[in-house]
Amino acid sequence: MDTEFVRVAYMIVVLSMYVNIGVSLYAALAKPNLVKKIIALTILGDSVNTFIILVGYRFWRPGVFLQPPVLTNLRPTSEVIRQFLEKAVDPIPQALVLTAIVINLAVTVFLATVALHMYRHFGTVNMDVVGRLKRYEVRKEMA
Amino acid sequence: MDPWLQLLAATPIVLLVASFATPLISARVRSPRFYSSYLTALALLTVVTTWGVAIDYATRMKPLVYPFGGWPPPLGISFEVDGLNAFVGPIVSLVFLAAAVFCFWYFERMGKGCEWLTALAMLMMAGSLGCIYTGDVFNFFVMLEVACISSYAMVAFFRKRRWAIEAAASYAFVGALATTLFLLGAVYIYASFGTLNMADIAAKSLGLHLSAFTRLSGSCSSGMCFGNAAVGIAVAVALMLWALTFEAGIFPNNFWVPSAYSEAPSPASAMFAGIVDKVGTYGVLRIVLTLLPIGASTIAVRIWGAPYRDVVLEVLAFLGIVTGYLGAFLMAVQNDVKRLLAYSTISHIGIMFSTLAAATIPSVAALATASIVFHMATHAFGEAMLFIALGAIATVVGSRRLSDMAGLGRRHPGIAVLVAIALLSLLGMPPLGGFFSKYMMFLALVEAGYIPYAVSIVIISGISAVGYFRIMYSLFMPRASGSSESPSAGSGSVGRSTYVATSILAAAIIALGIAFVCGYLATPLVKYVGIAATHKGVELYARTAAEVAAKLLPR
Repeated sequence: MDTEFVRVAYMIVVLSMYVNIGVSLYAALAKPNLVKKIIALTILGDSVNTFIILVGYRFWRPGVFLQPPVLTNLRPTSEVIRQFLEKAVDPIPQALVLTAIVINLAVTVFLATVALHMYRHFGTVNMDVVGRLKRYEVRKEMA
Repeated sequence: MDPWLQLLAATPIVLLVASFATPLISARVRSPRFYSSYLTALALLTVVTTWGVAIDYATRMKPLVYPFGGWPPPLGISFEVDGLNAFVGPIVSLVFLAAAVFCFWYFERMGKGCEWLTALAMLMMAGSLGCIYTGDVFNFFVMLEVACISSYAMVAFFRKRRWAIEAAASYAFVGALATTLFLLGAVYIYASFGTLNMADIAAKSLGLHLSAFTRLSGSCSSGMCFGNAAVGIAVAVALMLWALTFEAGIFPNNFWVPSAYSEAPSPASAMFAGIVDKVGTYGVLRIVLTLLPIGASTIAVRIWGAPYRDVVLEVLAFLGIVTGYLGAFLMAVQNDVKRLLAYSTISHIGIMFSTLAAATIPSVAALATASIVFHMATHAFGEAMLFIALGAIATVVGSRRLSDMAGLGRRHPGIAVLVAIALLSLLGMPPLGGFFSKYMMFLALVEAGYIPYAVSIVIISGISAVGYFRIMYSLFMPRASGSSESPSAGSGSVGRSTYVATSILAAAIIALGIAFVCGYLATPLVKYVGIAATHKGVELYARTAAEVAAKLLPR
């Protein structure tokens, strides 16, 4: 593996993340089925999370020995920290993603519950059908 | 350390703990009175702490910083209070108090399920307070999610009603999309600036070299911080503003507002109009004023020859005008009273955003910001009052239709008078606060040379008068003789707590108006609130945080 190959591979990964975000946004907005929308939303959340991890990526060069961002020394000297900074990836994006995953879980559970109730009330989870029903209702209300 | 700020920093945590304790308590206690007292006690706590901090800030005229866990600012999360959030917090907490007092009657009437509404209201307030006072972009995202998830649940509260579920689905789904994009925006900031702290971002974009910050998060040279600062902030602001305009309900993203506001329980509707909206508006102000400060040398991007900041403000102002007209016109044709009030909220938020145009001119920015915060106060109080009072009447009647409320103003004259005060304030009648906030926004726009926008505020108020007078007319109109309803409909009592809740807000509106007339308000508003919009104010914001960081850092 040479540096050029890693650079190209990195660019491909970044690009694919953007494509993933774009496709899932399209699916979330364009698909009428609420369950499909929720699936698209989780894909969007996961793509964003992966993208965030990628932000903390450390570029590999020959001769660099990369490590996970774990400091094993409990009382590090400044020299240890300096070496750690050169080797480890950025831990903050990983901490952010951890928080974001938990939040995504809560939102997805809520949306799944709402989808269940939608099905109980309307007999369908197709948002186009429900939207048509609602427009009819609102027009009747205003007349 | 400042004792008030420490208390304030504890308030969201106390609210969170209290909220999560509620389901446990509900295994033992069933009385609705207990839950409303519980909610009111915590609301009083937020009122005391937020007002304490506001007064503390006003006496010192210097931003206050509370670093959580003693971590120096760019490393840890910190609360930072400056002129903008020092006064948005008290507004929001007063609305929360009124909604909590209203719950005494509402919970009694609702009976079962009040513990859940209590838990959700506390959770939402915790999230909103966190959003308002935080000095960290990622923490803002987390707190926004806390506030949003609890408000989705409040919209879906009456899960037996099909339209409540539908409203919750459309709100929660697009809300989840919006907050995910906000997270993406926050990460762009991190990738380009190497920091998530707002004071640090402001310092870096102003080109200040504060040693406490540069030691921890690096320094910038010629537009390059950790990454390309200009491109990073441009993308981040676009993504974050999309999410926040969704929360505030600005034109392309306002589709959820009418159904969500009208389907939520009335105390929750009051909290939406008075709190969730204001958090969205505050977030937008924080971004355009602090993260994109006037005279930011590092991030001077130009789009079609105009500075990026001006383009953002112009676009927001234009969307605001569109929203204002849209809300005002649609308000006039509604028959559902809560839907009508939701459109009135949309129209008022639109006016606030249109005033952002004036913030492009550095000399008027302070006046524009002060007027927006002032209007936030008068609108939050007025709208929350209407949602409480008319929500109570709608609950008594058992219908939200305006025609079913005909003549009820005669049966409940006290409530009708309070409703009239709120309506006149929102409309802009001189002795009340609503007139002076609109007047200040008008002045700011005229001074900045945006005459069409300034005139639009007057026109929008005129159009929305149709909607407000329809409420007034149906309340005082004699009941149609051919009415098929039984005479007992609407004869229930509106409850003393409704009177207390609306009276608190009415007193606030009248006090704001009188204070303005006596000249106690205009100059201090520009001095205390407006400073957050000026170059000097943002610099002070950054420097104060850096001082705190320097104190906490080891030598």
